[in-house]
Amino acid sequence: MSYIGEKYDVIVVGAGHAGCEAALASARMGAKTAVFTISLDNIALMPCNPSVGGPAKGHLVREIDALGGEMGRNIDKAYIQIKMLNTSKGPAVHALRAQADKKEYQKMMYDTLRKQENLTVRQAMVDEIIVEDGQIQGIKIHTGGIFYADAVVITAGTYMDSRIIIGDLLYKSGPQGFLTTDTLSKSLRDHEIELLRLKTGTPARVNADTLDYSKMSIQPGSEEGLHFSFENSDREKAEKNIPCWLTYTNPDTHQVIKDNLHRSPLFSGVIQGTGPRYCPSIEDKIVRFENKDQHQIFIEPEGQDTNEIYVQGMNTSLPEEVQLEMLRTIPGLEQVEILRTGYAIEYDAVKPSQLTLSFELKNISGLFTAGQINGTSGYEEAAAQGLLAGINAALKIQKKDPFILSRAEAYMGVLIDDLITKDTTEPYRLLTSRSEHRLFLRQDNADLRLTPKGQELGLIKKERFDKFSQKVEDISREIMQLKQTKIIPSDPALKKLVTDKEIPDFRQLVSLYDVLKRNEISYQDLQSYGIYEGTANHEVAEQMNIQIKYEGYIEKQLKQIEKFNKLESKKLSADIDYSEMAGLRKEAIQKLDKVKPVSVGQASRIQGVSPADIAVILVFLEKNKRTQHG
Amino acid sequence: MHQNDTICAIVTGIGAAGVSIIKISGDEAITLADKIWHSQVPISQMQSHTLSYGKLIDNFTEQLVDEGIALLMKGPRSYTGEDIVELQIHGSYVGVTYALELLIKNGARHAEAGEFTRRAFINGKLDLTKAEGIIDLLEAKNRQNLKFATDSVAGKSAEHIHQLIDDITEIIAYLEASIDFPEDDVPSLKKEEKQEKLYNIISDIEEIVQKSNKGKYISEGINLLILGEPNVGKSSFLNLLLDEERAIVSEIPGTTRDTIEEYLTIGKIPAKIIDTAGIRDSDDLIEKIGIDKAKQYIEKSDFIVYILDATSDYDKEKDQIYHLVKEKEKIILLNKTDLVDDQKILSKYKDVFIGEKILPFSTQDHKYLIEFENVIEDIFIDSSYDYNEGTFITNARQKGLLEQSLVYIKQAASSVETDMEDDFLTIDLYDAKKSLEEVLGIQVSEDILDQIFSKFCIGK
Repeated sequence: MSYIGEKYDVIVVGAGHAGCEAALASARMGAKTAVFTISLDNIALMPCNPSVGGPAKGHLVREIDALGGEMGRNIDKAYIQIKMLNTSKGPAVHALRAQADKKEYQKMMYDTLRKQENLTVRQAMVDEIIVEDGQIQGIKIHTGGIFYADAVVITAGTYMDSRIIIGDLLYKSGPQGFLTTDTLSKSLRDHEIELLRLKTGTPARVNADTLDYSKMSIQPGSEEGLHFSFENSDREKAEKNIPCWLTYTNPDTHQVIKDNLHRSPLFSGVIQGTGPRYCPSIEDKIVRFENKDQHQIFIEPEGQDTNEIYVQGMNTSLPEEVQLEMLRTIPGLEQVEILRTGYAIEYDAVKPSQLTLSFELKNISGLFTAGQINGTSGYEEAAAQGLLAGINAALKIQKKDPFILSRAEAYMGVLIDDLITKDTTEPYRLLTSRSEHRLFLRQDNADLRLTPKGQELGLIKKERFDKFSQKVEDISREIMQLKQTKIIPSDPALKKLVTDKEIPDFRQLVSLYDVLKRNEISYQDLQSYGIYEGTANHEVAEQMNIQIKYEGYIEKQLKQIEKFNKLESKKLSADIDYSEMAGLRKEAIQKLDKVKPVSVGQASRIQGVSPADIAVILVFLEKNKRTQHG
Repeated sequence: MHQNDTICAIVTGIGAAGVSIIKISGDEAITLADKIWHSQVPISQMQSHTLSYGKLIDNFTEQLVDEGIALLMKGPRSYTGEDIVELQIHGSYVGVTYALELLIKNGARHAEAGEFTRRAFINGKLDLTKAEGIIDLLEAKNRQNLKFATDSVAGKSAEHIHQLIDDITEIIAYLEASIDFPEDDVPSLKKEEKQEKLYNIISDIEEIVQKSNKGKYISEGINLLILGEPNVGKSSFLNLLLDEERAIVSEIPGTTRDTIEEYLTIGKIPAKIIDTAGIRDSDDLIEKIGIDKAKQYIEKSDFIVYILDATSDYDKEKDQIYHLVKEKEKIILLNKTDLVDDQKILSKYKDVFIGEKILPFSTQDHKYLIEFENVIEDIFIDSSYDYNEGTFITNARQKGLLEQSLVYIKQAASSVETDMEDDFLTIDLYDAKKSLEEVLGIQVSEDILDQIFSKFCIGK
C-alpha cells in the first residue's frame, strides 16, 4: 500500500559523502530539503580506506571547503593524523592527506545534518523515481510513502544492485553488510537511463591487538597545525597524531596468492564489472608485476576507539581462509586475526555521458545524480559532485542558471568535464595530471579561486567572508610593499642571508620582490634576517612565496588558460544536428551526437573529434550567425 | 586548436619567383614583425595600408638576412580581418626559409593549410558563397589527416618522431607517477637521469631539423671547399671535376678578390666550389690567405674535401688542417692511390680518422670519381625526405613545430638545471609533446595514464 508523504523542494537519495554535501548545500541555499538514507547508521560512512585527501583529492576537499561545503570542516574535526604530501615536487602538487577516525567522522557529519535548518534526515530505502513528461515528480520508498519534490538528487553510491564477492562466495549486499536495492536500478532503466556495471574492492580489517609493530616502520603525521578548512587557518598544532605503520609483502605472500589464483573471482571470470587500475587488488599486482619481490603494506588505524585496522595495499576478493594465510606471511602480522573479511563489490552506475555539466540528466528535467553512482571512486570525488549537484538542484527550483565550474577554474570542473566528455569505463579517480592547468589549480589558492562564488551562492557566512576579504587585501598590499621596498646589495642583513644560503650576491639595488624571486629565499627569511618587517600571517606569506617565486611559470599557465577560454566561450546548442554539418567525419558525428557538448572547447576534448572537425564546427557556427543576422 | 595566435607562411611559390612574400597574421603580427624588421619607422607606427623599405635582421644574432619591403594592413581591414604584415623579400630559398624560421622562433606558428582563408571566413571577411569552398578544403584536410601518419611524414622521420614522443611520454609518466602516487613504490628520476634523457631528445630533434635542412641543398646547392697541403693534387682534382662534371658557370668573380666561384653539379647536387686563387697558384690556401681567413672559408662552406697524399705519412701539418675542419661535414680523399696498395693505405688512415668518411682516390681512374659522386649524394640527399615542391610548405610547418618542441624541451632542461621542482618540468614537456604530435597530425591524451599504470605498480 502506498501513501502520500511530505512535499519537499529537493530530495536527496543517499547520505554518503555526495548525499551529505548535496543535502547541506540545498538546505543552506534555502530549499526545503529531505535526505533519505538506507540506514541512519551509514551516514558519511567510509566503507573503504580511512583517509581523506592526497594529490588531487586533497585539492578537491579544499575546493569543497572554499565553496562552502562540509567535508573540509568535518575531517578537520575527525582526523587522527594529518600530513602534507609532495612537498618537494612544487607548490601546485602539495597535497593534504588525513587519516580519519571513521566513527567520529560519521558522528560529526550526522550532527551537522541534524542541526541544519531546512533539512530532514530519515531512514528509507528508495525504490522508484516518479517522472512525468520528462520532469521529475518525486520518489517512492520501499515502505510505501510517495514523496513529491521539484528536484531529486540520487547519490546512491555503490548500493544499487550490488553483490559482494569473496572467492566463490557471492551474495547480494551493499557495502559493509548494508542493504542493497535492485528496484532503484530497474526504475532508472525504465526511464531510459543507461547503467554501467562497475567493480571495486576493499581489504580485510584486522585486530590491532594481534599485530607486532616492532617489525614495521612507523609513519607519523605532521605536528604542524595543518588543516583542510580555510576556517581553521589559525590552528598552530596538529590536534592529533596517531601513527600508521609500514610493512611489506614477500615471496611467501606471493606464493600463497599464486597457489590460489584459480580461486580468485577476478581471474575465474565471476567478476564482470570493470575495476579501477589505480586501486588493483593484491592478486592483480602479483600477476601483473611478477618481478617485484615485495609490495608496500600500510597499517592504518580506523579510529581512536576501535581495534580495527585497515590493511592498505591488500585489497582482495580471494577466499577468506586464503586472505588469512597470506596476511600471516607479512612481517608483524604473523598472529593476525581478521575482524572483517576483504571483498570485491559489483554495483550499477549511471553512464555519466547522460548528464549535463550541472549533473542533471539530459532527458529528465530536475533529476540529478552525483557521486559514485556516476562512475567515480573516492569519498572526495563523491563529495565534490554532491556539493555541485545540491547547488544546482537548489538553483533549479529557484529558476536560476546552473552553476558550472570550468576546467580552468577548479579540479571540480575537470572532474565533471572528464566524466561527461570522456565517457569513462573504469571507476574514475581524479589525478593532478588530469588537469592541464595544474599550476593554477593549487590547494593553497582554492579560496582565492572559489570563495567569492560560494558567497554569491549563499554558502559562505559573513564572518568567514570578511576574513577572506581581509586576506585578499593583505596579499595585494604585501605584494605592493615588497615591490616598493628597495635594498642595496651591501646591506649587512642581506649579505648575511646570501652568505648563509650560499647563493650569488645581488649586484645592484633591487626590490624585495626581486629578492623573493630567488629560489632559496622565503618571505619568512626576510623577516627572520630583519630585512623586512612584514605583517603577513602565514597564509598570506605562503601566497608571497608561491605567487612571487613562480611568477613566470604561473603567467605562462594563465596565458594558456586565456587561450583555453576562447574556445570554451564558443557555445554549442543541444539541438544542433551534426549529421547535417558537411565535412564532419562519421565518427565525429556519432560522438558529438552522444555527448552534445556545450562549447567548442568541450567538443575538442571528445576522443574521436579531430582538430579539422573542430574547424568545420567553427565554420558552421559562423555561417549560422551570419544567416541569422543577414 | 589555436584561434587567434599569430600565424605565418610563405604565400608565394618557392624558388621560382624573384620576390617572395611572407604573410603574418594575428594579434601579435605587428609586434613580431617589428622584432626582426628594421626600418626608419617601426611597423607599429606605420599607417595602415602603407609600405616601407627595411632590413630583415636576425634578432638573436644581429645578422642581416635580407632587405625588402614591409606592408601593413591592420585588422579588421585586411584579408583575415586580423592585423597582417607582409614582408616582401628576395626569392631565394635560403633567405625566405630563414625569415620564416625566425618568425617561428619569435613565437609565431606556421599556418595550417587554408588557415588564412579560414580565419578570413570566421572573422566575417568572406561571403557565404565562399563558405562551401572552405568546407571542401577542410574536408580534404580531414582526409589528409587520416593518412598523415603514414604518408606525409615519410617512413624514417615519422618513426623517429614517434620515438621522440614516446621518450617524452616516458619522462612525463615518471614525473606524474611520483606526483600523483607519492606513497607508492614508484622510482623517481635523478637529476642526472632527467638531464641525460632531455639532452638525448634535444640532440635527436636537432638532428631531424638538420636533416630537413637538406632540402635546401637540392635547390640552392652546397658550398664546397677543397683543402690540403701543397702538392697533394688539389688542382688536378678540381680540374677533373670541371672537366668531367657539368659546369654551370665558370670564372664568375666572387665576393672577395681572393676567390673565384665555380658552379657545377656533382651527381644530382648543385655545388658552388669556393675556388681560392691559392689552389692553383701556390697550391696552398692557408699559407697564402692566412689562417683566420681560411677559418672564415671553412665556416662558410657546407662541405669540405680534405685531400691527402696517400703516399705520405700522417704528420703534424696534416693533423693541423684536420683540426681546423674537424667539426664540419667532410670527406677525406686519399689521393694518388694508384701509386700504392689502396686497402693498406685505407686501413692505416682509418685508424687516424676514426668515424670519418675516407675515400681512396685517383684522378687516373674514373671509378673513383663515380664513388665520390655517390658519397656526396648520400650525404646531401636524404631518401626519407620528400623533395617535391608542393610538399615544401607542409614540411616548413613541420619544421616549425619541431623547432617549437625544441624550445620547450630546452626550457624543461633549464628547469632541471636550476633545480626547479618536477611539476615545473611537466608544463614544458606537455607542450613539447603536443608540438611533436602536431607534426604527425595525431592527438594522444590518455597515454600518460596508460603508461603509468602499465609501468608502475600503483595501488598503495
